[in-house]
Amino acid sequence: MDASTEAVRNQMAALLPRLRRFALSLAGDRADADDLVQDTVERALRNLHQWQQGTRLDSWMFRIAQNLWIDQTRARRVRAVVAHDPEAAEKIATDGARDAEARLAFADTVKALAELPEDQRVVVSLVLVDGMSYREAADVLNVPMGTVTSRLARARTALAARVFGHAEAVDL
Amino acid sequence: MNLTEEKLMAYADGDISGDELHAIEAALKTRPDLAAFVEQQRALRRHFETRFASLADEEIPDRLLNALARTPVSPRWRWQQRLAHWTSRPFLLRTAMPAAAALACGLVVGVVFAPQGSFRVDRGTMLAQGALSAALDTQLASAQQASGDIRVGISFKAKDGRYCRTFSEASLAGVACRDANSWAVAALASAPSESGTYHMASAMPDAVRDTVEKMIVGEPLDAAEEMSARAQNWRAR
Repeated sequence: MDASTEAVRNQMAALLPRLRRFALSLAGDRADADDLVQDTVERALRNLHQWQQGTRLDSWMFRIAQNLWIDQTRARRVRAVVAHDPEAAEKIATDGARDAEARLAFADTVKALAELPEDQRVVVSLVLVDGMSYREAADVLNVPMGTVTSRLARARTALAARVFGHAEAVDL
Repeated sequence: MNLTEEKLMAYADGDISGDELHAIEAALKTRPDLAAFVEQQRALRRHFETRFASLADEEIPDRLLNALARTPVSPRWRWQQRLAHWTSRPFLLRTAMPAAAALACGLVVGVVFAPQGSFRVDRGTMLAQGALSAALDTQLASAQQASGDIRVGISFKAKDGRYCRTFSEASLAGVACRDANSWAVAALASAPSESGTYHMASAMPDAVRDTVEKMIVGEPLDAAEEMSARAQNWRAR
């Protein structure tokens, strides 16, 4: 009935594969990832007036997804701390990884990602998993490009060590 | 250029251009340790690309498609779209050329304020009259009759309790609110067409949209609410 709304829904449908991949790299588990994508889609539609027409829909939706994920992760951690369960709090970071161990192709990668601080994990998911440029990632996160560059550099050093057993270093 | 690990990583990501690109490529030719570093960073990127690649080709689960199809969009978005698009109706085709000619000659003020025009000023307030006033009284936005040059867009309840309605007439668009005996114009602006011709979709003038956004309470009236408001002559209860 409303052509512009249908057009937006179609654009969102085209973004779903990318959003799922992004969510999986954040959540580390398929079911959790699809929960995150579903939450993202619902929140985007219910708040569609907040999207500025003419700006990129993908940046806006990735921003919603990463905000939701950060909020959920923090809420879970707070719940664990409040419950005086340090073991649970510890476990949260690697929960996704543990579930994914059954899927061997993912196990190491997901574990390596789960060990990163959240802000670094988000940048890795945007640039290395989704393939965004640094500029695009900075737009999603509303941070300066230099912040993306430095978060990504710290993450890459840790990931290289984790994935390859050693991180190449250079003497500059 | 100050070569850093960050720069080399950005190079591996394809995020370096111009002079920096040339400087890095030159350095890589003479420094095997830099080349090894870059190669490892590229391998890391490939590692992530391949690990997650398969997901992009998978079928999307039904629950996500359902969420996409069935989640209602925000009411605010819906009425913003209605405001933006209501002037893009066929009636503009019929009025296109006369309206354009009148505008081009700067005659529009004379036309609309002529004794038989749509507006008059009474003690500092602009009021709708004639055909416009009649259209505001009777036309239902939700069941638009395609008659005449005047079109009513949305009807809504304002914060001060009055009923207000947006309208367009030829190339003008505005919002008027029902006082005791008349429709007082709260905003009026020309609605420029996007392509420069009057038969194309016209955008709602910012002045009118902003006025509506400031005044509106809740959502625009639906068809039943509109009928009921009309039945009470648009008078606030």
